[in-house]
Amino acid sequence: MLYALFCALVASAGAADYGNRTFTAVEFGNQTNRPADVLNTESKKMNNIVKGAIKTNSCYALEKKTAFAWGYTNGMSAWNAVKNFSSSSSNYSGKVFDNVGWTRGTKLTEGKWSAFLWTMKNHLEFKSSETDKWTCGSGWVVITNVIVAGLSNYPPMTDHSADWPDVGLATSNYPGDNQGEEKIYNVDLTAYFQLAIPDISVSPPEAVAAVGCSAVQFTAVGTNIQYGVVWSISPSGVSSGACLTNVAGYSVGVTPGTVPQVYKIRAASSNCPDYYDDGKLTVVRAELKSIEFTSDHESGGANLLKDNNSNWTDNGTAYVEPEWGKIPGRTNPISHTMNTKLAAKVTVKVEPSGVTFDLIGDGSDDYVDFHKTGNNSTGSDQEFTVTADANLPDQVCTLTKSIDWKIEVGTNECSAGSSGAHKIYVTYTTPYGSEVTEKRLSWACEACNGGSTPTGIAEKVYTTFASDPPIFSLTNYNVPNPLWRLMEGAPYRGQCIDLANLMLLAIKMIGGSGTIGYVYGSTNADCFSTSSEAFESRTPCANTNHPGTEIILVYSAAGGAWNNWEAVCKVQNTCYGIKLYEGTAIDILRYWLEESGNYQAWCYQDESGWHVCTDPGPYPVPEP
Amino acid sequence: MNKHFFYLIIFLCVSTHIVIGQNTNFATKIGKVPDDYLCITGTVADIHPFIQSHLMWPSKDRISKHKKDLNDNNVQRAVASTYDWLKKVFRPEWVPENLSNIEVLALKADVVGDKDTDGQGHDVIRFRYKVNNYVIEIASTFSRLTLVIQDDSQKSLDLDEEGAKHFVANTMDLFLREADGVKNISLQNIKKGKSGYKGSPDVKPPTCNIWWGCVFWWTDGHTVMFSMLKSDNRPLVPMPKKDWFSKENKQ
Repeated sequence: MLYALFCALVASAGAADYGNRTFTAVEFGNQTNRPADVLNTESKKMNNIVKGAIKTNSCYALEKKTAFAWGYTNGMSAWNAVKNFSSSSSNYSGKVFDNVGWTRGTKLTEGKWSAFLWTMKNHLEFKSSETDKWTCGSGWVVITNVIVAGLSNYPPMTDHSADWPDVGLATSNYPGDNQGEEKIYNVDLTAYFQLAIPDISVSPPEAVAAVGCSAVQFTAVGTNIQYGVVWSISPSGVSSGACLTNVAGYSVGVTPGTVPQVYKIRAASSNCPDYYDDGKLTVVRAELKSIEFTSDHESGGANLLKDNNSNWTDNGTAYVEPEWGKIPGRTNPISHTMNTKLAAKVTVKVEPSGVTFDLIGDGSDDYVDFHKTGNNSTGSDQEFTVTADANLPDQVCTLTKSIDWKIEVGTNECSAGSSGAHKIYVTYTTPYGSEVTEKRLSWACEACNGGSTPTGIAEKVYTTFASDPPIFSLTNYNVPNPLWRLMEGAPYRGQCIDLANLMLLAIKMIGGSGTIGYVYGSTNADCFSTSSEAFESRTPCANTNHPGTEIILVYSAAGGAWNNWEAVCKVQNTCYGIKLYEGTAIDILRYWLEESGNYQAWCYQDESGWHVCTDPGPYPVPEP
Repeated sequence: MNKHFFYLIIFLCVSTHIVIGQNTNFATKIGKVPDDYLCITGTVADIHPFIQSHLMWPSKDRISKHKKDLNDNNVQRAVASTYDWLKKVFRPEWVPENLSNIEVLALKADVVGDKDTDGQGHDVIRFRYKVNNYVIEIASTFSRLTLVIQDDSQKSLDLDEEGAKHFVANTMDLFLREADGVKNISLQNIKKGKSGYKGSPDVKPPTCNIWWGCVFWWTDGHTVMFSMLKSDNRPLVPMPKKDWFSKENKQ
């Protein structure tokens, strides 16, 4: 029966692992948020099972033999009898059993209660480990704990003892009426080593330096690196390339050298080089190659502006593009419409390839600032289209601006060089009307500096023309071709029509507009026309000796000759009689006639030429 | 004379000289006209005295009386202006490359006897030269340029009006840069006078403001004269100015 009872009890219980411990994953003390791939990488460095074995000094197994009571009136009484019974023990020296535990229970049979109890435990004395260093790859790491799977954690190389299971638990409580229990504990004595794995982080993780710059500092921080770190650079030995300098424990300086290249800057654990972290140093070379302005004034893909800055002729060759070049070196001026943005194609070479950068042009004003973000270098010449941050001034002027070009990689900057000084002739609109030579445009922009309206520009040209050159002469004129050569002064001299045409050319050079008009002698205020043949006329004259049609001509005392008209340049509602007067047509006629000795008269023509009609006149014709 | 035969002569004459002339260069064979040579020996009627004075080459007495020093700055300027007008009006093959080998006369207040309308005369630049068979005489005042052209290898032709038209038109075509414009105008206006045929543009002021619109011409069947106002669509009116050589004209 007892056997049957035991069988029944055994059937109701099961074996268990002693300890029931929970193990945790590897932890990196200084960086708790290491990415999974890093953990995976680090774990792969553990090239074998990190475990050993405790060194057992002595052991025994102690068995409390079975106590059995029966004939009690209740179960508790029977249990207390066996619990308090001092049973004999058996000591199995040098033995460690894997089925230690206990068996206990109560049972009512034939009106009487019985109880039973049997226990057995192991006792072990051991040294936790033979060493406190774990060989790992080409080095070692510190063992911080020896984890005996079924028992506990122990410092390495320390002596300990352990008893299991705690058989006191078998008598700590009443099993219950008619209840039986069998506890058998297996114990896993495998010893695992908890390692102090070096965890290294290089700061900054990425850095960019321009070729030829001063050293870049890298620092290694981490845990379990008390034995120091070893710095290295890859690739190493690059001729004129980057090299390590100022190695000082956990920091190092890296001199970029003159070769654009991406380098790994590695800090490895001194005791176990398998544990390391890499910083990245990109040594960048950015070189500005050329700038081609695309928003300037062009015709058929070629610049309007010609390179003649020495005389007033049409000579010269269109300034070549790109306007700015490093090799061959040149800085060509441009002409550009005011109040619009500069745009250009900028060619730079950024090495090495694969660098993401922003291209920045930095001038002294917003209208010569440029930004082109999110570029990826190819290591070769690359062309980028850029547009200035702001419009050019809203007035005619001449600008001379230099631009500093750089690239930004992250928060790092690298100079690409400077361009300029760029001379920008800022005009009202696109120049036209004559060959756009620099001599002419330079003069026109200076003369019209600050002008922002058609009349504003016209006023400035008119004011400038008040002084010689151009030289005026009615009868001794010597008109050059092209007309711009009047600006040479003597021996060239022009009549009013020449100066008016020259003024119109000057206005058109700035991109403005106007017309040529003619102020005629007149009997009334209707004295203006854009035709050179719109004379006030009368037919026939009362004098029968005057054939044909008579017209009103104006005598100029200063010139000692007769005038068909006074040619003017008209801009919007204002007529400009160069070196004479500005205003409405009648204003100009009146001013002209009021000059000393001037007058207007009816004139007729016969085979000998023109003649003044004094009979019947009126002679002179009264001023309107 | 058979009219068709006459046209043939004209055609051959013009064709010959077109071959000789150089369209893009100055005349290369400039000859001197003998001092006593006169294109017009008789009386010319029905032409304004002012123009008559330009048509007739001045006598030695007139030259002696009115001759002005060519070194005078004002005279030099007048000579240069005349040469510029010559280049403007003539086709280049009839223009001497310069006037260095040509005798130039500057006549102060030149008049033609009693026929001058105001009796005071005008300053005038005169010179003549020969290109191939053609004698070319120039008379230039402040306001007017007169060209006298004669083929001295041909005799005077007995022209009717139609023949005169063609004679003048072909001479224009041969000598004048703006021949087409002149020809179209002149052929509509031709009349026979006492001494030959004369004509003028069918254009009147104020539209007559460029030289070929202000040309007057005359022919006696041997000599052709073109006289024109120095009009060039500029502000200055070619008003007769007698004292062209005066210093007060200088500016």
